[in-house]
Amino acid sequence: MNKQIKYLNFIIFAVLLLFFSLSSTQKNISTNILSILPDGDNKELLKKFENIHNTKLLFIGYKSLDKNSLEKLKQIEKKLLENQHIKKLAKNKLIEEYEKKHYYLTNTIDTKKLEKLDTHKELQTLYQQIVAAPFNFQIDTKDPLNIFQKNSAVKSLYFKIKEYGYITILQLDNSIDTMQEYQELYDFTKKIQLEDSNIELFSSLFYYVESQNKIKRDTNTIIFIAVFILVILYLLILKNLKLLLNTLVTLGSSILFALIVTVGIFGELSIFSVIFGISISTIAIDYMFHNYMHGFYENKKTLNKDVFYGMFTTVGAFFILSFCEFKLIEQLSFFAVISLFFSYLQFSFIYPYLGFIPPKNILKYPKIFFVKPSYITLLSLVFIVFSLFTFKFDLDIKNLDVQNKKLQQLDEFFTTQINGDKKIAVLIFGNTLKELIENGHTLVNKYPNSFTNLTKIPLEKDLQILEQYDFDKINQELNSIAPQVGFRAKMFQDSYKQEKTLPQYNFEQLKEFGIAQYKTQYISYVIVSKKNYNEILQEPFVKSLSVKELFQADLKNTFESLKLLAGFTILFILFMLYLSVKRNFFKALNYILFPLGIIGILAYFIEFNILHIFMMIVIVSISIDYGIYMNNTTVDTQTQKAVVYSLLSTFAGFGVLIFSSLNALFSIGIVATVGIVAIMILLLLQNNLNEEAK
Amino acid sequence: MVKLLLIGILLLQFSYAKDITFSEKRYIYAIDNEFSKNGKLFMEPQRVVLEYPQTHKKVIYTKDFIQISDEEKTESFTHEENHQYKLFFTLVIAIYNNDLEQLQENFEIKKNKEEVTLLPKEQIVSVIKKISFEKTKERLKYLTIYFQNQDRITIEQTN
Repeated sequence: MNKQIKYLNFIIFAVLLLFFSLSSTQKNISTNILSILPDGDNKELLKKFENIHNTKLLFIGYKSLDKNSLEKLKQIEKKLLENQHIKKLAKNKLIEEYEKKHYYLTNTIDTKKLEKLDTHKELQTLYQQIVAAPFNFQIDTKDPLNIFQKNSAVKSLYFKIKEYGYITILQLDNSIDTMQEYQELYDFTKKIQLEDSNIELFSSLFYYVESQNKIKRDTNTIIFIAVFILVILYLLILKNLKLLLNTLVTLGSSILFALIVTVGIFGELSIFSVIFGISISTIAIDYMFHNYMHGFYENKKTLNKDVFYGMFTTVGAFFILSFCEFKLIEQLSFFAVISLFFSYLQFSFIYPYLGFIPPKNILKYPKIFFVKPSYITLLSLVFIVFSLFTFKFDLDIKNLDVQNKKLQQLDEFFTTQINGDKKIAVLIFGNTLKELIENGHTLVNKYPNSFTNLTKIPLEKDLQILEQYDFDKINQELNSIAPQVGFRAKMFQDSYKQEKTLPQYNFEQLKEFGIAQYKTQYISYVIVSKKNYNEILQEPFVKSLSVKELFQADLKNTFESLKLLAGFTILFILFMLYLSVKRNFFKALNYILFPLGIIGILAYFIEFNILHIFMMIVIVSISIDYGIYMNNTTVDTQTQKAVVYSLLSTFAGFGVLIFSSLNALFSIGIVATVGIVAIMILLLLQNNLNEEAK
Repeated sequence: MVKLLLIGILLLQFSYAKDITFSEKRYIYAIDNEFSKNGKLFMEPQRVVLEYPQTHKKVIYTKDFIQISDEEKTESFTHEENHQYKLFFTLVIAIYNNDLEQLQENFEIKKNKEEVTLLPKEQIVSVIKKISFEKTKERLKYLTIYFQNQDRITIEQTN
């Protein structure tokens, strides 16, 4: 039994790793910003938009205007087309069929031409065109007199761009929707791009792939630095390899367990929650250090009251924060509660049986000078009041996402070159299908440089325009004159046989036009020019699709509820502090006020986002553990050492996020680092050793 | 496109020009009439020249441009601007060089004894139904293009 318990940490880890590998947990870790946004109408509408706006394009640019450049662009295009998921740009087949079927209603009539129509002359011109054509002339038998405006059958998609070169567009298979498929496609295109430095490629899919790769690279760097710090701490200072291995395995088990449970609760977990979760798991090392340094493991004691209070306070704080409706904070808090509690169980109930003996006289605790706790309290309060005046809240949630300026520039360049100006999508609503289609028509009529598939669906007014003209008469005249000009008899017998009623379609049949149902309403989107964007947003049936605008109100509400939850958390922390330290309550209070004050100074330099605020609360809930340990009656030099080691390990977990290039993680890292430094300063300035221990 | 590069390379491979004379019959369904004319093709190393002596029409095809001239005027086009001639010359060069691989991008190729049938893919299918030709002993017996609008063109080598 004793032998088995020595390997229990490793057995738990192996079982959880096996379960994790076999379950679908990994597939439910998302890099999409949607996974961290607050639930509600706006998030659902964004998801609906992603579904209906599913044309995935691949833009290809060749940066040269040499005479061979167009040919080179075509060679690149041909290579890209060798991939089964890349296709030539084609119209939606169902929409094309619809347009063919309702030809006269879906094309715009040239009323000026119709009013001065000379059928004989038009047919003679057509005859000459047919005979003069080198090989073939395609007659549009539906409109041989060219009364309706239409597109040619074969259209060139190569654009010559001044001072740049040539660009073209291909289409990506709509069926590809997994990250693995995105990555394969990305690798394939990048390989072709590497062949020639003049090639530029862009697809919106690249955002997902590059974000994921950036997050992966970042995570690897952070984990490397964290493990490096821990290895130094354990091997060079503590000189205990067995303890290092057991701790790493325990942390690994807690992370895996928390991942499995959190994915089970939320269904989808943001990658940010995972990275944060991994970081927060290292706080649990505190529990091990205090038990270890105070000989709890040596004496096989399982319950350390201070460690229990510390754990209960931190877990309790995260539990309160988990009521925040902001998805990311909710996920992070749940993850932390599960991971910390699971680590605590292992550190408290398995480690006493592993035979760890605490080191002696390893670290000399430096004494700088003693500052009266009341001075520190006063200074902290000054900092806090100062920060309240300089505090600004960043309401743009997009700032938390991965910023990819290079792709954003390419995105803007290609879309502007192809569309003529910068375009942006807006959502439109209608209480009925008819109202939605009418709203689409209204917007495009008012802003002609806008585009929506909805204008391809005719309205009553389109039918009324056609009814003003006698197309039966045009058909009769056409068929009587055509043989005189030289056309075969009955060549145009079906021309201008226009519909007498509007086509009736239901929602299912019109889905292809980019229509979705949301609650009791129908929604679609319109691509509008950026210069008209603000004006268009004033229309009552239009809604912005900008993440910043959609979630500004949500973020404000979240901020308000976070303030309330922070209040509850601090009350809870104060209660726990009083319960555990009683006599030294005010001295221990500095472990809340001082880090808060120092972090508050940051507000002078940066705008605080939701994660800065969340992390402030986290730091306070971690800091209070030290307040409990350092103000207990049994405090001694071993406690101080344990606190220093804990702070180092907390920096290894949290502080290293300061090295992240992702704003969400950097925000956590900067607050964590400043907070840890503040606690360290407090440890040096505020003499905590009680007389007995001295 | 690689195709045009290949055309260029193949054109360069010719060390001498070869002249081909042919008759062309074009049936136009809309006017139920057939037109005949004779033409010449000059397969030169850097270019291909198509001439219709009766109408004084001349078309020059190079890897960079297509030039069309008659008694009155001369016009130049890029390959993209003149799909019909681009397709015609691609076809002629591929058949002349017995290099049907060039056509695989746009056509499905089927062989039945001596006759080769090309079935168009993607966009071309909206214009061309099929193309058939037979070539024996380096001589084009016939080349017929069947269009979707029931027109057809038949070209026969006469020399």
